Amino acid sequence: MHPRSVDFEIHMHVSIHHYLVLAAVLFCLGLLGVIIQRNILIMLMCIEVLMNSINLTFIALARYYNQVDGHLVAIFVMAIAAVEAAIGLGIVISLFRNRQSIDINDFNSMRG
Amino acid sequence: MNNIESLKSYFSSEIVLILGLVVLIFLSLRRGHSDHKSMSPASSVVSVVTLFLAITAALSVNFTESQPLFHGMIALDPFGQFFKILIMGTTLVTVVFCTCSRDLENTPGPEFMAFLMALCLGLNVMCVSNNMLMMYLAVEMASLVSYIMAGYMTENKRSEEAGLKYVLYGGLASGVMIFGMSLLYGLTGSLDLVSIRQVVINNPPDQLILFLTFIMILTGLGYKMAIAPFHMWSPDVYEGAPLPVTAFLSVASKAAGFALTLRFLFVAFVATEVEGTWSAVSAIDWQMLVAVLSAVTMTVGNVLALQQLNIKRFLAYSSIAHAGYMLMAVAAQSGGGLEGVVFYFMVYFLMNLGAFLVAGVILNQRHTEDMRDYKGLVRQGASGLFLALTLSVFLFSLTGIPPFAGFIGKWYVFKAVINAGLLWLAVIGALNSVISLYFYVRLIKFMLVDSAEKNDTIERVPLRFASLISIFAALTLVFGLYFAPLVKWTQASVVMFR
Amino acid sequence: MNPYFFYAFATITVLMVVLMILQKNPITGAMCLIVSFFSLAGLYVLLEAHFIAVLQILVYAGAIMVLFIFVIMFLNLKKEDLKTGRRPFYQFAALIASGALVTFLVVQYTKIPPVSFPESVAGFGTVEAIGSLMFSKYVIAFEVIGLLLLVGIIGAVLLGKKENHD
Repeated sequence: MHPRSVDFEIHMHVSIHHYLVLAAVLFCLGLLGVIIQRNILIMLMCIEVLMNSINLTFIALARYYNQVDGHLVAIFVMAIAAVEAAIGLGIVISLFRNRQSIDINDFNSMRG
Repeated sequence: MNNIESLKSYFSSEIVLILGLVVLIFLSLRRGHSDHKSMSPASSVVSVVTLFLAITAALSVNFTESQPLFHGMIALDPFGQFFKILIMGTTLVTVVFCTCSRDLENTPGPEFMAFLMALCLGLNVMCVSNNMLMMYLAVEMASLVSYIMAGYMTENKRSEEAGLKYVLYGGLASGVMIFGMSLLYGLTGSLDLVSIRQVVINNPPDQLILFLTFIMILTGLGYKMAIAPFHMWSPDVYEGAPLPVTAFLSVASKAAGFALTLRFLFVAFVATEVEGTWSAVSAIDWQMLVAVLSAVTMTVGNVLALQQLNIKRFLAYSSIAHAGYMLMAVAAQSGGGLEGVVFYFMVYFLMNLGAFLVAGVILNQRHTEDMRDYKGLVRQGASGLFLALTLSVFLFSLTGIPPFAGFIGKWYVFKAVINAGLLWLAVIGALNSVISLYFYVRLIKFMLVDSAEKNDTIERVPLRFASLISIFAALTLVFGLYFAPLVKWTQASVVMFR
Repeated sequence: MNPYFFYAFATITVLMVVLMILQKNPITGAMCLIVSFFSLAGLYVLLEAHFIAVLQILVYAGAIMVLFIFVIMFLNLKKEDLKTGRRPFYQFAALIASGALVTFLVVQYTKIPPVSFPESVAGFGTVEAIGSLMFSKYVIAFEVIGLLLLVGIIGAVLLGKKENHD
């Protein structure tokens, strides 16, 4: 076989790094989103993205170590994400009823 | 130790709490008359009984040596037991506090008490978790219930806002923490703190990435402890939340955060122990990091407390400053430092809860959180005199003036820091204590020296409050002079499962 | 085949998340997020986490995002509720910080030689493997999360149920 094609083969191989980098990118996008967004609903969605990047890391590492423990953590993180979404949205609903706004900049009555 | 054995012998206080929680949820289904009442007596009685039984159960657990429970998910050790008892004690005081608090007038009692039990349970698990998954779950359990409690009074706009800020900051902080944990799992291949230590000592991973991981996990933990620079949420949440909840968060939540952090640092990231002094693992020397964090925390807390006139915000910043002092002892990396933290928490429990109780009485009667309305309190009848004098005791103790218990706490902390050779940190701590003297004494001056704009007497303080406040004030005085039993308990409580 | 699938799913995921964080309209954002969750489920399948892939679709796309969309519909937002204008300083700082974090992590990862995945053990990622671990070693975590879900349900109901006292 020609050496170059072997090289290409190795390059195209997906390693654990690919997944970890993807997870890191997602994590940073989630963080970025929470900071730059003003819409509370989308901020909460960004936190969901954060949780997903964590799941991706754990699942890739579980595959790497051949341990199912990482999958377990992913399941628990999902459950937590569900509760967090439910509570966050509950607060958003009650806020919206009082203030008619979902803009984070409208909620700064406490200062100092 | 396997699941059934651990459940039977060492988990009884948690089981009692869960039973109490279930009973409270059933109580909440029995609607009708309790709907518009503030705190129905039944729910308070159930909570008090539950907590009393749980504390008794925790005290009666005796074990000869520290050991792992539930396949190593939970550690059974005197350290965890101490913090569990402290947290349940705080919850007990909070329950009594809630029964006559105007802040909670329109909240349905059983649900509120059920949340308090769940929060207490989450914090308990935080103190004993020995596995990163358990750590994360416990932190989330405590945070999620705190979000609900902070945003509880839906008719109060500040409360909702506090809840929202809490959710957003909390989601972010715990997300960063679990991402750090996932990287740590990647570096070590284990979720268990003890095995992580073995890997970190025997074949240390790349330093830089380990450091990043460490910082990320510390972000989440720092958020629970409310230390700078992760403290931004705490003044808003403390101001917006109902007063009893604020009191609870400022003591119990902080205690659990410290317990978790100490366990994380001293189980997973210390290498050897030589005569009561540990050395950090070679891959991360976290002593300097923690020392800097503590210096920043106490300075931020004290400087920002200077300009506060709202009593809740004032106490929030003061609690940030106290977290800084406690962190100073953590940086000492020694058995003495651990004793310092544990001792300081006992004292902090007394003086901080005491100050909140007095603020609660005044809020109930005067509907004010403004410290300028405390002027001339001492001349406003017998109750005014009582409140002014006890609050002065708590404030002097918070400052760390000699005959009070706060001084002994500070003394232990400073001793540990100086023994560890961190003189610069001790100097910063001392300077901070001087700054704090100014604003604590300013409030005392308001109460004792200044005269009020309009002189109306304070009504009789409810018996429950009066007795709690007197007990706390008396203990603050007694432990300032006779602290041998506390020291004995402290020394027994620093043993950790490793 | 594997690499092409990976890159396809990864691209879709990142693209959709980027679209979401630039959105002003929450409903469009939610739709983007659902697509990205589906492609993440594809990535989980590539990692032989079949059970988690199913859960990802059922729980995230099926339950959590439906909850989000339900709340968005419930709030019945008008055009003027979705104001424009951002916080430029934060945005800039956040962009730099997160860019730095990604570069740092990528550089750190590339220091270690790329490790391909080992052969997976028999039954890896099946319901059986996950279930037996969950009900032996992690049973305490399972109980804690059960309790948390119970408290979470009650809390969400209480927060959403408003009694106007004003």
